[in-house]
Amino acid sequence: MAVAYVRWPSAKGEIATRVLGGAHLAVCLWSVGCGADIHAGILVLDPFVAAFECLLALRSLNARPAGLPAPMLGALSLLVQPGPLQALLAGLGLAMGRSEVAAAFTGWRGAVRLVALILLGVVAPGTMLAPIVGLVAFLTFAPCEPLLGSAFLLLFTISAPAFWVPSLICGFGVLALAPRQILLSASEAPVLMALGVALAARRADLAETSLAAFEAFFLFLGNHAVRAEASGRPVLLMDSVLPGAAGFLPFWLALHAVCGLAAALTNWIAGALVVGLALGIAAVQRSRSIWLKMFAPHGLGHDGIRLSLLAGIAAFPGAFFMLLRAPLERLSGASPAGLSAHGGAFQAPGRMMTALWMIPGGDGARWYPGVATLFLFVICGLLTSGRGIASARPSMVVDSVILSVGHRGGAFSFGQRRFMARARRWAAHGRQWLGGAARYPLTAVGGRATSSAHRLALWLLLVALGLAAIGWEG
Amino acid sequence: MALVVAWLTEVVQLALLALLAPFLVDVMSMAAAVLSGARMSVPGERWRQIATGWRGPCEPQGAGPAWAACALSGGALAITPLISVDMAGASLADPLAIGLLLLGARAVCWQRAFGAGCVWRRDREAQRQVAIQWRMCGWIVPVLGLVSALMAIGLPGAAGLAGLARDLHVQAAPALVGALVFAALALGVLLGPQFLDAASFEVLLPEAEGRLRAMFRYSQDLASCGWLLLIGDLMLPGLPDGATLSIPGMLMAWVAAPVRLVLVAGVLGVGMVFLRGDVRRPAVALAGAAIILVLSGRFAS
Repeated sequence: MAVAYVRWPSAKGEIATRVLGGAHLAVCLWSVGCGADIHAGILVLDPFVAAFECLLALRSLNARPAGLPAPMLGALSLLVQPGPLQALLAGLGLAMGRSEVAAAFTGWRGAVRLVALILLGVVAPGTMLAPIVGLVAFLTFAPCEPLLGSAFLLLFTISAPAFWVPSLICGFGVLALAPRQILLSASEAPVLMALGVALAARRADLAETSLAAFEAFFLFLGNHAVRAEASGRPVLLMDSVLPGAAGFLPFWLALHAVCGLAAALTNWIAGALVVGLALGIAAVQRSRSIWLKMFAPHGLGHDGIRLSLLAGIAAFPGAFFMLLRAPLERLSGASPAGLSAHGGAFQAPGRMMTALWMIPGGDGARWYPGVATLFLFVICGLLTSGRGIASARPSMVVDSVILSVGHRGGAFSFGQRRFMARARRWAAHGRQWLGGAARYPLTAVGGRATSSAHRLALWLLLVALGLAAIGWEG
Repeated sequence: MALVVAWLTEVVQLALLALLAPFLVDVMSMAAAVLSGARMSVPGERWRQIATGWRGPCEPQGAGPAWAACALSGGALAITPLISVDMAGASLADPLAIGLLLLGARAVCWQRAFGAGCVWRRDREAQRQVAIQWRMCGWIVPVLGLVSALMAIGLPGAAGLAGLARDLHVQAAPALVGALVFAALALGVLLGPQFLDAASFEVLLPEAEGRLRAMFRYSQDLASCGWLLLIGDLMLPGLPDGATLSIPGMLMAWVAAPVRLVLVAGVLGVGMVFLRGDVRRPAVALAGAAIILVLSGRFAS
């Protein structure tokens, strides 16, 4: 069924695609919600696979035109037992993502992909080599379909929790933030880091921390499945990392999960510092890409469903987690009885409401997403009222203006600029001669005088402050 | 009773901060003026400036983003504990959340730089400032993440600013307290003139005037107040527990809170005089000192 609605080039086909996709989604949702395993010949649908099936189906329905071949063939390949057939189907999906099948497998990248697919077909999960294969598969599939890559990475790393696997995954996540995009793009960095933290916490039997990190992992992927390339400003605002938006909670969860890990394990302290910094950088890069899209020319589009889905995830992530209860419990190794002592998310139905509006962060921190989202709705309303951002402001923002610091001018010739600089200096002198600078001058140019000679005094002052605080407390 | 006290504290704190924010901006500029030998403004000057602008020409269509900026900064002020940790919004007091709210308030002001009527040099200067401030965000947000990690390492289980203050009453963590001083200073140094100075903020609003400009100015004051509050909570995390306080103790705490903010404003105003230019190296040094201190504390125990 998964592959039946791959492509059907007509209006009827579009409707059929949507209907079939909806049915697919419903079956997977049922499997994920009830925690039921379905066996049909060589196809197996367990809750963990079903979670990824849901996300892939959502992604495929979300694309225009609906029914992308890459995620759908990927979804089919996930249903098959790991082995050559799975690798073949996944490779086919990878190839269908391109305009020509042959283009996917030429050049050195194509060779790497082929090697990755062969490894995927040969090596079974749970063996010594499996984490490496999972990582290579992630690197192969991430540029085409990050959901599929994450699924393979999780499938191949979850059953082999050697000590170096989480560190390696986190290391790749940090590496993805490098200014030159070597293997990965920066958007995949937080996913990798969340997964690495989750695996490390699972290995150390920290169920609550592991649960928070896996929640972050699935939230990153869920946001990815709902997001679209071009969308209106309210959707972008809901997708951003502002507290209360859908993009904030995964970062918060990942950060607090790694904090919980560092609080419990001494050998993860350095890792926590690095991952904490890297998550901050990833959040800034995410919001920068959203900022650039805000000013890009765009059609407002029919984003109602997308906006409500994002708002739903942002306001009630507890509902999202309740849906993914079975796979999350299995992955994090958390039993419901063990969690209820710490006020975890999954308990008896009587405490479900608490879980819906309070999310534990894995290190004792709590977040109330509903309150924050309500606040963000007020902001959204204010921004779009009257002549807000959402109205037609002809934008003159160019990427180069935002990204290049110190690039100025271009409109005036050198002689004109020299004259202007001279005139400005004269004016500044004149102003000084007339009676000092303005109290709140209109520009920052010609502000307060600085004295680099006094820096030593400042450093001494800082050290004294730190020491005084220590002495005062201790 | 505890709930009533918590909401009362919240309301009093918001009212106090809304009143106090422009004065803190005055304090910062006064501290800077004393050191650089410039003429000092009198306290209340900023309020007068805002009031003058408010009485000026009114452009009601553009007011939405200005209110949004005020609301974002106000939201940050509402969840940062000022008087006591027993406050209604204190359970949301996460450094990352507070910082992102305040940066969001600034982002609302950024979009003013990309207006319709482009006066070339003036607007170009504003856009250049936006670019520089984006760069600084790439340093500020990681430091906020670092602060969370430091708190988790130095005092496991302390989550958020309120949890930190509450846990410090029970268990002393001198290394963490010292480290947070350095981390807060790193944050202050990175914020520096771009995010705290009232004068450099004016560049960002090339075309706003009258009431609109006054509102944006006020939102900037609220945002600087939020940053000062965050830095103050990190530097001097000795907030009392409101539920256990007696009445005189609570009055004392209400008086002490503005004094603490003024102190922080003075320190940052002085710092801004010294640390013009490239602030990234001092910030890295300060953050490194914080990391070393907290590591020494963790491994010593």
